[in-house]
Amino acid sequence: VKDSELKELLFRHHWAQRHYAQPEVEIYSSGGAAETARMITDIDVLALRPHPDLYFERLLGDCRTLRSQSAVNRALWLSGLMRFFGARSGTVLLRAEVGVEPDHKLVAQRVGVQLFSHADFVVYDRAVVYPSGSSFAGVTVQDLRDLREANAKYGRLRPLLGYLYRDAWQEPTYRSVIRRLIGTLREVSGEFDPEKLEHVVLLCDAASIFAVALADCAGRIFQQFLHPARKEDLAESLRLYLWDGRSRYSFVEQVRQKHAESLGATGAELGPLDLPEWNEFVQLVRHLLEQPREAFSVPWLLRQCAVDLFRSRAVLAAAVPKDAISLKQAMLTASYFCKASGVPKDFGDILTTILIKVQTGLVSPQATASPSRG
Amino acid sequence: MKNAEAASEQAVVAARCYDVTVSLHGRQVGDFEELLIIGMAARLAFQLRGLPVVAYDLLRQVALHLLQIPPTSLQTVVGVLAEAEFVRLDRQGSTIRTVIPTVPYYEDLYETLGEIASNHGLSEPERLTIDLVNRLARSPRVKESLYNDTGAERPLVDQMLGVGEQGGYLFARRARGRDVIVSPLYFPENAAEFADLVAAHGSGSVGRVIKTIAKNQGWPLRVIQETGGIGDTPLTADEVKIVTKLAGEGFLPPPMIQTEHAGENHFLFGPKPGIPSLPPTKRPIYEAAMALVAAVRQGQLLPRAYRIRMPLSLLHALRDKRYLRANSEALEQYRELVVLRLGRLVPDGAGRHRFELIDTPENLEAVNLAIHLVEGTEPLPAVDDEVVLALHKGHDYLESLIGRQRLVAQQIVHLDPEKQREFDDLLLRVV
Repeated sequence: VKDSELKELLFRHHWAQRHYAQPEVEIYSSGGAAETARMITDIDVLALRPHPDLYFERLLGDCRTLRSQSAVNRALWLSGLMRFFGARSGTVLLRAEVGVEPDHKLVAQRVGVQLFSHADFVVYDRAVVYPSGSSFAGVTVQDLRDLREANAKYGRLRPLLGYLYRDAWQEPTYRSVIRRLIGTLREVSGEFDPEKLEHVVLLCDAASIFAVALADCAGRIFQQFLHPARKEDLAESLRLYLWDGRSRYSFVEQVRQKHAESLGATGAELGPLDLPEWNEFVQLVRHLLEQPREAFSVPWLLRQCAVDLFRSRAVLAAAVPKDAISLKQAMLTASYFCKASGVPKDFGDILTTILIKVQTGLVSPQATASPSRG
Repeated sequence: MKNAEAASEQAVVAARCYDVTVSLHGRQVGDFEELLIIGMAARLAFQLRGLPVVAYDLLRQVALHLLQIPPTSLQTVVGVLAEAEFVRLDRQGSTIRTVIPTVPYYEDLYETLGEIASNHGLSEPERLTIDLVNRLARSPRVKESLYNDTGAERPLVDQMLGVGEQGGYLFARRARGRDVIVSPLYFPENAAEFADLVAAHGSGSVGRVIKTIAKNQGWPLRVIQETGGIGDTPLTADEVKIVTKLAGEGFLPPPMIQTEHAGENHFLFGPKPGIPSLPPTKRPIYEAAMALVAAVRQGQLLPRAYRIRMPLSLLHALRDKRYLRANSEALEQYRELVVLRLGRLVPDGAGRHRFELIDTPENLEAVNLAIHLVEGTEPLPAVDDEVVLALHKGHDYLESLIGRQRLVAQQIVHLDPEKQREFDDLLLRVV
């Protein structure tokens, strides 16, 4: 068994349980001393498990051959990484065919890490994802690797790829992901061509990462304000959330005003500093607040949609009637994301149409043709 | 930029379309087409907000049986909602397979639908009906005044008044020898008393008093009589007389609070909304909201020592925190709310009481309604739980609701006598 097979196994285990998962996340120090950020280590699988209290729990997965380390040493290393990353728990999947020392397992458990040999994990997987195990999972590490690779040939998209699959996962808060992802995408929006399938799926996958941050945002706003009665109240809470408080928001506003003045404009010409398509963003969040728990399924649905499109198979064939609200939220999220990103309108139309067909399939399955891009 | 005044007028048009449509209860009027389409679109939009994808077949059944929208009109109605971007449709050719509601929050649904009504155009009888209903929303009217005020031809006014009577959204009352037209949509209670008031004082004065009360709901009668005004609006002596009559003389008694320091005080409210905005099941909630506003006005305008300076902030706090901080006046001020099971008074041991909201959906709705009343804004039509459940749970639930009722009888509001005569003449000629 190779390391890559273990990684697939662990990734699929999470994906089959509808945990949003990101493979091969490189870790570097964002405030580092080197001129260019250098990789320090990496996480084989980063999984996000929706919590009933409306946030994502981070789960880390590590797959190792253990040539030069004992199992418990690897577990202790992972527990350090969990603390660094604010993760809830971790899994170390070992290539060794023989069982893991019970004492190593006990110590690992005390620091929130599960230690498995490959053989043990197969049993564990079948028991948790009963009865068939996670072999049916609709997304694999290879799918995401290929999706990224298909777009890496467009040199100008590389900063976006770097943000999506590396930097976004190291942002200290999800609020930064919302701002920076849209900002980064707008920088390269002119490169996107709706005729290219790889661009459509990249945008859909980017929307899934955006949806992770958006679900967290909706969860926090809901915990504080439930359903704000007035649009202005929600808009103001979102502004303060996105900019991490009033003082930071005011500071950025001042910088923006000074910049405008230096160009000869008066401050009065500037509206408030908001995300693009602000009204639609506020409406989108309000829709999510109606059933905020469902918003935590949206990232999974959008990434599954991206991979299904990429592999030219029936889109979201695993969707069930109880996904109806999440699918509607996914449609609204993709629609907003495409508009705010400044990519051609066709992208929004393509993704919205596909997601409408999937929703139709939930209530009138006989009418469902496999929704595909065409 | 959209002209705010025009947008507001368009919103009024859509709101009146909604009121008339709900009142007709599925009955057809030969002169109405776009009015009913816009009214039905508004009715459907309010029920669809927040729902997941709905199969068109199911929507057709629910719309027919629970919302009185005939299948022959539904496609047009859904088309209007799609034009307003309130729904997304999945079509196969000309067939609609599913409807995905995307009805926005915070936006004025009436404004958008009114804009569509304006683009589509309304017929003359429809425009006249909306004008009539809009005037009657402000105050009952002496019939004669309607001929002059609307500027429409007398036979057409008579015809549309006749349609309105048969449709149930207006009726005539004799008062002091005059015909007074009252709309139960806006004056569901005390019709005879309102008719008499208008016959005696004129609809202008009555309308102005009602409008002023609507902006200052729950104002104490004693304060009005002492200051000669409501809020910042001064009243004439005649208008003060109207206010006094509204608080007695056959009208349903307004909420009252008795305190040691201020005695017995009555708090005035505008007419309760009619059935389109407030179904009978929601009436107790509205009454609880009125009692809450009265309590807040007591603290604002007739306090013993500690005045409520920001009534709206206080109500928002009650909604968000589910309690109001203890004070020495709470016992007398909020006692009536305990009787209505809206909240409980918890003593703090220092002679003060903390008012705690009993956390039920109905009570929360009452607090939200109270906020609307203090803001002077009209709440949007209530969501019908049966419609929402039927759309959520599907055909089986709907079957249990409608039983074996497969055919919905459709009543027709008759043509006016003149048209009937023309039609009879035609029959005489051609048959």
